[in-house]
Amino acid sequence: MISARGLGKRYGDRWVFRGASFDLDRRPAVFVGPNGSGKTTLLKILSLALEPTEGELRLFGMSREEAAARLRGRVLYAHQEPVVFRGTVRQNVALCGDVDWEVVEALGLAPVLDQKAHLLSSGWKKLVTVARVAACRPIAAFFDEPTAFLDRDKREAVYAVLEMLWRRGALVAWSTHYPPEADRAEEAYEVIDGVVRKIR
Amino acid sequence: MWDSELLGVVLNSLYVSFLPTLVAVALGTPLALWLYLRGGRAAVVLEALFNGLVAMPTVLLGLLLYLLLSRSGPLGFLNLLYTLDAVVLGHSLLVLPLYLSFALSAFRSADPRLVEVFEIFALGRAKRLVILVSETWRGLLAAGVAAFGRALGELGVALVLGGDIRYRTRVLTTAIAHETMLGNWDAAVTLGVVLLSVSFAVSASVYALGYRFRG
Repeated sequence: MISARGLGKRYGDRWVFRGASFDLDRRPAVFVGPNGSGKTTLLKILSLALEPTEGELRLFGMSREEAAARLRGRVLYAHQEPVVFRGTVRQNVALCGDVDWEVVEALGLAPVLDQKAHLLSSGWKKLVTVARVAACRPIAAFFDEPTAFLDRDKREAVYAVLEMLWRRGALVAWSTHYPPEADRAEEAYEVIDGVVRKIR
Repeated sequence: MWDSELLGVVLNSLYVSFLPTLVAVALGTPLALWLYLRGGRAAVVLEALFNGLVAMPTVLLGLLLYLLLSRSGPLGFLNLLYTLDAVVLGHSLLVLPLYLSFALSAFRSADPRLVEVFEIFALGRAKRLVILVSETWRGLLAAGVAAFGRALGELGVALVLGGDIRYRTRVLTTAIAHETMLGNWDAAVTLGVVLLSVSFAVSASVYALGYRFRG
């Protein structure tokens, strides 16, 4: 469904990673690695938010360019740091036309739907950032550290929603620092020293 | 020139300041958004051009528009010269680059990851504008006040295009110049105090309104 061949990304003279080749199918996948290893850059490239410097990326049988034209809004990325704008939680979540409110409720956002998102705590903002992607009925969803800023109950709610997404047929992948959260995925990739390799 | 004449001059000043500010907001906000989101070389060149126009000498702008609007000029058929509408036109061109420059800075103060969210969710231009304006309204308000202040305190365009015609096109700045040239210092200073009061009153009202509706 998503195929990367020789992907590389360079900022200035510094290569974040090179030669990344792997295939993601419908099994949930996780990207692990230390801070600054390039997990965020890789997830942004896979979700079409960033262009690779080199290599080939194919999504659902399409070239990157074709996918960028046809799948924008269906292949989604949730930032590691919460990103919300002035407006209610409802407005922040409903960026796509067809919002799945069941997902929003599953994340526990129902009590704060009409509150101003930018005035909430970091944990709530993080949930809004996750909900915005998960509730938009994505065909592929990439979550950058989806449980950062969250307590244990909310972390469980997030993983329940991620499982809900892939059971419905979406491609789901995320990044994490924490081994227990990596164990929840069926496939695992390590991003370290500019190399992406499959470890499970 | 007091009582009703002074009121007329104040109203003229407000007319040739508010209307150009509205024009600048209406044209400058989407244009600033376009420059902000588009980026690239063309946007940089356009921004540099507008930044250069911020420092445009007002008398020169007045002269150029005079040549266009005079009876023998290409826009002479509009019969705008020596009307308040000519001053409105001149002030609109004068404050647009200033407003645009401030608005662009305001947009740049927003979280840059919002632009990534716009791209990821393929949001339309209108939705992007609404979100960015809601994020940066304080900066846009300051841009509007700066544009208004520039138009209100400007002399060159008002004098060349309006002609300082008593009861018709006289505004506070041209009235101050007129009284100064006649040596009526008391009248000139009084008009200056009125000009400053109008400027403060409008700025304070706008900021108070902004405070009232703060998010």
